[in-house]
Amino acid sequence: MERTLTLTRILDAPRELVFEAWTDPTQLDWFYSGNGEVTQPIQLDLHVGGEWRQQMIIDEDTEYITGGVYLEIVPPERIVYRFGAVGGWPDLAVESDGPIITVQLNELVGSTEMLVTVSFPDGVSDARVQQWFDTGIRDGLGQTIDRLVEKFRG
Amino acid sequence: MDDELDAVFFALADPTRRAMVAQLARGEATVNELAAPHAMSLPSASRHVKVLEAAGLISKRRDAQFRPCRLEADQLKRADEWMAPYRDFFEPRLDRLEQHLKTRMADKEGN
Repeated sequence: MERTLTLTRILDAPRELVFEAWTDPTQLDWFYSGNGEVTQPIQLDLHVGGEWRQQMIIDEDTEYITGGVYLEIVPPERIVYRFGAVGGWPDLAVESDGPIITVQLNELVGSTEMLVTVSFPDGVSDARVQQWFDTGIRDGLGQTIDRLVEKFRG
Repeated sequence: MDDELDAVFFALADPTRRAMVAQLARGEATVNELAAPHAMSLPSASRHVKVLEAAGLISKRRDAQFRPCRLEADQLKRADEWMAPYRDFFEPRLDRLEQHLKTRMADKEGN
């Protein structure tokens, strides 16, 4: 069974620039969309097996480290990483079975098609997957069917 | 997570079936009409339709001559809700990435 979610964006920038935005720690501020002043520098080791660690702040009392461990790096078209951080959220020390994020960048004329896919590796039990989703940050955002269909359009 | 939802994700894992779901989101269609855009045989299209039906994503309406398929929106909603936390994490970030790239492009043009 395949359990995936794919978000697609068309970006008005060459894909080299998009790839840089995902992999250059001096540019990754966009990944933090929380509240408050980040105090820890972004760590990023762009090698297979290397870690990306970045601080997230929800409010005064709640902060966590997220990021990933790289599984595949193909400049400037593809980044695959296991989502999470050791001692962070998702916690990779405990959750070696966490979701895998694939960032696929396709070159269009004058722009880039970006597909961000969240997938759960085969062999992860459905109960574990359910736990993963339950620990997600729910804000009860209602989605229209149209948007869902748009998203699932292959 | 239950078997029913398993079936939904299995059904949506295939690009042809996703396209069929998208087509049905625009209105009812017969198996013939669902097969047409994909240059596939009717038996193949029918198999895909059966998978979607088994997942509860579509249903067939009895009609005098043919049985049009329609989308079962509730089932699609359930799949959507299940994925919501991850989408909620990434969507705002991708919005910000778009902004970031706009700034980068503007900087580049300025130099």
